[in-house]
Formats: sequence, C-alpha cells, structure tokens
Amino acid sequence: MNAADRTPVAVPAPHEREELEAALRRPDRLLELVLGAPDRLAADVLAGAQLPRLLVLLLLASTIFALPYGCIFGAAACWKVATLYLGATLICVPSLHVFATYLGLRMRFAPLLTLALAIPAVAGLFSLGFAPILGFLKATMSAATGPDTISWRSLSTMLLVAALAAGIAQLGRCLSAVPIGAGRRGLGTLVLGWLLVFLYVTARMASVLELW
Amino acid sequence: MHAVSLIVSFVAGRARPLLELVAGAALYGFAAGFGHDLHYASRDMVKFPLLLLVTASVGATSAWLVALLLGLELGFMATQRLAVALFRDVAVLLGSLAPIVFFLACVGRGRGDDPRGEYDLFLGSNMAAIALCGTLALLRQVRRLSVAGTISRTRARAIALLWLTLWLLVGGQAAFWMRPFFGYPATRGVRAPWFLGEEPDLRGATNFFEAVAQFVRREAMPADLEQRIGRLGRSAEPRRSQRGRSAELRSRKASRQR
Repeated sequence: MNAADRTPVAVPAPHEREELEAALRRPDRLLELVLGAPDRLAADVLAGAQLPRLLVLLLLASTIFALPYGCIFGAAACWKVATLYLGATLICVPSLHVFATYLGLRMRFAPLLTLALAIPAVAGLFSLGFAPILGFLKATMSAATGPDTISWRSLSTMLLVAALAAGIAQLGRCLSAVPIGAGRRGLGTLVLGWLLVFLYVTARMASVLELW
Repeated sequence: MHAVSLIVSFVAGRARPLLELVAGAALYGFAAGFGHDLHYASRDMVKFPLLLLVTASVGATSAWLVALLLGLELGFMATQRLAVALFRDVAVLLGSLAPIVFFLACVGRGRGDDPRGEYDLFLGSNMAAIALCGTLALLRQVRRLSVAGTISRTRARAIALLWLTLWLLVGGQAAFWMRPFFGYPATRGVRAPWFLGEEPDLRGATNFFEAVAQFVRREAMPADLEQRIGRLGRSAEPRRSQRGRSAELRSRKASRQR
C-alpha cells in the first residue's frame, strides 16, 4: 500500500466560540468540554483560534473542580488539591516548551500549555468525583495513626493518584487524536520523558502540601 | 384524573428498580440475620438495603466520570439508572437466595451451643452467595452498557471493572462500618448497637482496608479467639439478668397490688 492509498486522519471540528462561552456559564458544559471530547480539545490546539478562551476555561476547571476534595482536609486546606495539580503543571510546562523547541518540534507555548492543562483539569474533575467517597471514608474511619493502621488519608493518596492517572490518560487521548507538532513521534517521546519529571514534582509538592 | 394517573405511572416506573432493590435486599437481610436471632434479622432487613443504597450513592459521581472518560456518552441520570440496575440485579438475585439462606440459618442455629457454632460456615456461604450474585449482575451489566452506550464490549468490560473497584472501595468500608450483620452465636441475646463503626474487630482492624490487609498478610486469628467470643456473650449476661430481675420485680409488685 503506497502513501496515496492511506486514508487521511479525520481531524474533528474545533469548539465554536459560543460553545466555549456556554461552558463558562454552565458547569455541565465545562465538564463535557474537559472530559467528553479529547479529539476536539486537540483540534482547538491545532486550530489555535480560541486558545485564550480555552486556557481560561481549563484554568477555571482545574481550580474549581478540585476545591470540594480539598475541603475534606478542612476549610483552610481547600486550595491544596487545586494547587497540587495546577501548580505542578505550571512549574513543569516551561521545560516542556524549551525541550520541544530544542528538539525542533516547532510548538508555541500557548498550545503546549493548553494541552498540559488537560491534566489538572481532568484530575481536578476526578477529585470532584472522588470527594463524596473520601468524605464517606473520613466520616467512617478512625483518625488514629500507627504502624499497622490504614487511615482515610492514606486512601486519599490512592484517590489522588487515580485522579492524576485519569488526567494523564486524557493528555494521551488528546495527543493521539490529531497530529500535533511537526514530529509527532518526537513529541510523544518528549511528553513521556516530561511526565516522569512531572510526576516527581507532583509527588514532592504533595508532600510539601501535606496531602500525603 | 388522567394527569394524576400519568404522574403515578411515571413515578412508579422510575421508582420500581429502587423498590425492587430495597425489597430484594431486605428479604436477604432478614434471612442472613436470622442466622443469629430475630433481633439481627429485623435490623439486617434495614441494613442490607441501606448498604446497597449508600454504596450506590457515594460512588455515583465517580462512576459517571469513569464512564465518561472511557467514552460512554450518557448523561448523569442515565448512568445512575444503569448503576442502580446493577444493584437491583444483585438485590433481586440475593432475594431469590433468601429461602436457601434462611434454611441454612435455621440449621446453623439448631447446631451446638459453642461460642463460634457454625458461624464460619454460614459466613462463608453468604460470601459465596454475594460473590455469585455480584458476578452475574456484572456480566449482565457489561451487555447492558454495550447496548446503552453503543460502545465496544472491551470498553464496557473496562467500565464495569472500574465501577466494581469503586464500589468495592465504598461498599467494603460501608459494610465494615455497619457491622454486625451476622454475629457470633455466643452473642445471642446481646443488644448489639446498630452500627459498630470504628470499633476494632477481633483481630484489631478498625476499618475494611485494615481487615483486608490482615487477610492478605494471612495474620492469624488471636489465640484466645474462643475466649474472646465467649466474653462477648458473657458481657450480655448482666444485662439479661437485669432484665430478668426487673420482670420479676414487676410481677411481685403486681401480685402485691392484687
């Protein structure tokens, strides 16, 4: 089979301005935007027309959705989970951009940031989903700690890791949906390496924030 | 009048799976609790449906998000209906096993008076029944998911497995917190609290996850298990004798009045 016979990858339509504005007004639309169609999110990055709006929406989602989970640690700690995911991403994105440029992948900062923000947005969303579970565990489990005890805090670590895994999976889905970057394979390898650094930073930040 | 009947039929249609869930779980709860005594049976009639409802509702949001992540494009309520259908299936299947469990409970109660009696056998057979019903309901759910969400069977399987993990996490802890469901034969007559909550079990676990960890590590039961269970039973004696004394006092008072 020669190259001409290959069917081209169908690039999905990017979000319209009205759709993004609706997502700003309605949380269910925001949720759908963040989680529902990773291929369209990637198409937005590729088109680049609505990036500022999309960036605001993803930042908003990363912050707001993570608040309820943080509240379970106490009202004063409600910001911690949002800071964990968003902070680690924002710290690590510049390095991704510099490395991508260095390797000749020709990607601008804003599209890379938008793609990377899929991680904290989806992780924040999953933490929202896990919040009732953690609340239930906290209400039904002893607060005592010891060498052989399993507390709700140790289970929270597991849930936070699961939420982060969902965020990383979403980034993977975005990247596999459309051909982003000049050398797609190169970007995939770079992102894999970057994820290792990102995970290390996240783990350190979680210990600093006393989330695990 | 027509509108009223429409509303009634709508509510009945929506509430039916929930009612079936409660009825099935209550029936099974009664049979399982009867292995101990009527007191446990009546409580388990409430506790088993409550356990299923708590598990379904606490894990609801995460179940929906997991389904969305794996490409099941259904709304929140539609996903919840599918989830409730799974719990309804488990409850109905368990309810159908209630006569068998009731028979086993009666047989177990009739055998011996030692502190543990046939507790382990009865508990084991109930765990097997729950596992069987759960597996059957899950297999049916996979089919239901692939039809409702028009997704591949592999994806439906992945969603069902993730849901199972979520509900085991919640349901396991809920079940631990809502103890006692079965109760050792030695504790018959003891007015146990509705929920033991964080109180340590006989091996010292204060939650479901510690109990699982102890099971995985194959930690041995305490050497003085029989004595401990015996003590649980004896702790009821003063209360029982006090009740007996007060009944005696009441009858004496009545005869004096006469």
